[in-house]
Amino acid sequence: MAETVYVLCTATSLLCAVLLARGYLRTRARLLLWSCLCFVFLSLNNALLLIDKVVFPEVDIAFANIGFGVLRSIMALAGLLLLVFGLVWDA
Amino acid sequence: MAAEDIPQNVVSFLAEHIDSVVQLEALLLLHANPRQPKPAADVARELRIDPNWTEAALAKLAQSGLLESSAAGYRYAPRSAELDQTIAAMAREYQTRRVTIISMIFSKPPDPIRQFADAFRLRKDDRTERPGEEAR
Amino acid sequence: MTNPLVNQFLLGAIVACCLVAGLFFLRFYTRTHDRLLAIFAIAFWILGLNWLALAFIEKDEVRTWLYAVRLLAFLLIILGILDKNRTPGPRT
Repeated sequence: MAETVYVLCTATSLLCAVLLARGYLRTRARLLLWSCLCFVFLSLNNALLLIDKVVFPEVDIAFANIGFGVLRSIMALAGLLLLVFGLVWDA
Repeated sequence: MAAEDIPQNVVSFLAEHIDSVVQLEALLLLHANPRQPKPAADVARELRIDPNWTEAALAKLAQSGLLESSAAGYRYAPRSAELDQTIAAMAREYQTRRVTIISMIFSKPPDPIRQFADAFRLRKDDRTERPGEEAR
Repeated sequence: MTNPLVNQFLLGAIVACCLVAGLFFLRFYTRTHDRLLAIFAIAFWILGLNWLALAFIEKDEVRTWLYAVRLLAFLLIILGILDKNRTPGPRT
């Protein structure tokens, strides 16, 4: 059940990223680039969540000494900062 | 082609509400008979424009709060008296400065927010490329 | 760097960004009356609430439910996309 949630979250954010990428390639509108990157990072955030909870459920894993929880947060924040930048600058 | 002497409220109105000449013509047609709702097909026939384009343009105008949509069709119903005055001014300008108004519509820079929303359209017919052309 | 304070800081920044992004989408919605933009506003605010709750709730069982709330936000976006493609939209 929980796995389904994580997979669906990842799939949905990926879909948004793809649609926005398509739109950006067509129109070259910079807002689309930033929002696409936002959803790419949100997808990574969701994918890492999936890996963390499903693949390694019992262990607190770390990557280059950065805990996965922190890594997930960094991904999400990176994406959202890009989006906010795009909304402020290019919208 | 001096656009400076077009009143500012008309310029702002065009920038904010009008994306195509179809929208402008449809709005002015309904403005000419404000009490009477008209179905999209009638508007299309009177303007001699493709009915799908007309329907889309009228829906957009209704969404912007300029027309009222009902079973009987679309009726001129701007959200405020100020809008009504602006549209009346635009109608007057359009009679004498038609080319300037039309060129203002076409020289509108693309709106990034519209482009954002349009990116989520999956069908091909909403884009400007002709059928048969591959999306880049 | 697994310091929980670092994560709390990041989550705070994330929630703030979600709030701001939602505000922008709300503003764009009032300008264009495009439902999809209102949906994005609500979705980002739901995500913000989601991350806010994750910052303060530690019990694993509740956290699993919180991730379902996140899914709700994304499903809302999907619904918005479907809605946009269902109605005969205006060409711009």
